[in-house]
Amino acid sequence: MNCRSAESLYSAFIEDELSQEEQRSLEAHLMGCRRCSGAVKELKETLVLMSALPTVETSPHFEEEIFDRIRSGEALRPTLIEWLGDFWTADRLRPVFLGGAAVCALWIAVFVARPDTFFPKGDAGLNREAVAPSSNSSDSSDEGSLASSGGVPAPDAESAPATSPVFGPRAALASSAPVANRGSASGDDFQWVDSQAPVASAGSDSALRNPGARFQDEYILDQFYLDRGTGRGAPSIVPVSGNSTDDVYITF
Amino acid sequence: MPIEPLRLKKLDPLADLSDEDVMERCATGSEAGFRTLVQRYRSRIMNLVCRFINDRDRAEEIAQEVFLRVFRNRERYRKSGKFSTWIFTIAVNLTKNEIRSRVRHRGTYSLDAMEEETGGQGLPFPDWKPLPDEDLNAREIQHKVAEALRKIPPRYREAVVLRDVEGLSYEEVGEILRIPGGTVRSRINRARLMLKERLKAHISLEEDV
Repeated sequence: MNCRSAESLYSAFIEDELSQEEQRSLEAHLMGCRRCSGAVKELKETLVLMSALPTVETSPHFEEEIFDRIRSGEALRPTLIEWLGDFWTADRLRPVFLGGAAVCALWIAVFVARPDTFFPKGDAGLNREAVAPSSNSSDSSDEGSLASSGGVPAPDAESAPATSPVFGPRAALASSAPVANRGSASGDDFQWVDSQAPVASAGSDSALRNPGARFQDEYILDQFYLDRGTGRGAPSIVPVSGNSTDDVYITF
Repeated sequence: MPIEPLRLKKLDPLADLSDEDVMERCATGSEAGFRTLVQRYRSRIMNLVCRFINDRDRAEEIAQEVFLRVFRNRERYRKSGKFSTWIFTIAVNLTKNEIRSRVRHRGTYSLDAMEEETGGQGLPFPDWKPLPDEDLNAREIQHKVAEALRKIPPRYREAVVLRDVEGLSYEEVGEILRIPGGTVRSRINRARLMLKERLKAHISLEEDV
């Protein structure tokens, strides 16, 4: 043990709080070190002097002044820090936390029971007008007239604004989807069946028969998607690319 | 003559109760309970605050504020904790605020602020109650001890005052200052070494006497 490590143990040594090993080690050091042994004696004397410090007494009116301040109402006014401390106590915050937990639980319950609320089916979730590519203004204008003509029901721009979030696979589709269903507009009703991804699957059939059901087969070879429309309009296959020159429209 | 102590005891029904029990009564609206606590702790709180800051008048104001806060927050006191720890914590926090305030208003309290911040030289500690019977040399040494205590940095001073002046345990000191036990011991040892260095001359004088 050196003097530096011995120094850190002086107080514990004086107060007899060292372990036996530390005690033996320090005593061995003090036996051979006059500086440290002298320092320990001085420290003991210092503690004696400290304990001899007289108590600083209060004034004779101390107690009555406190009660006067209480009677005057001064003691009843909390400071700003006390007020804030009171406000942020667990008791006061408990209703806030419980309310927050209830809202979260409700949200999760609705999410599980009614996923359509968050992932709307049909045109409600795919705002075709809102995602219309700005590079092709003629298509955009066409879409408005076509949609109003009954080929594809016009999406409600107010209920699904351009900035409204679209979740899931529709988000990817929406970002590149074309704006018009010209096949439907021109009245060319024909069937198109892709050999690798037939549209007329059991799932799609049932979905077509039941407009309220969620349609599962909306991806077709990553190049087309099935726009089921609403219950009034005919479903159609729409190219994802949005290239108006070579796309194919098939309506049912 | 032996009747008098018995009568006195009857007059103060709270005398035998612990601080925690008295505080519980105080929380239910007992003015006598609060008065008992003030009487029990007024000297200790005043002494503590006065050793922290170097202004007797201000120390008395802070000590009064400590009791007012106890009164205001009497319903929030939990009997599971020691009352002494609670009231000392309030006192230490108010004193720390006072020191911070002085440091902030350095222009107004330049001497005190520098002193509180650095533990450097400062004005002499105000005299305590005169003790006519006391030896002049002893009073001078007490004055030097108080001055040495005032000159060490606040974080060491508060630990050593709670331990060596107020006589609290290391655990209580740690709880009041919100520092771990190892830090408490280290600070107290360091503070004592600082005091020893400052009082070296007087310690030798004491030994010679």
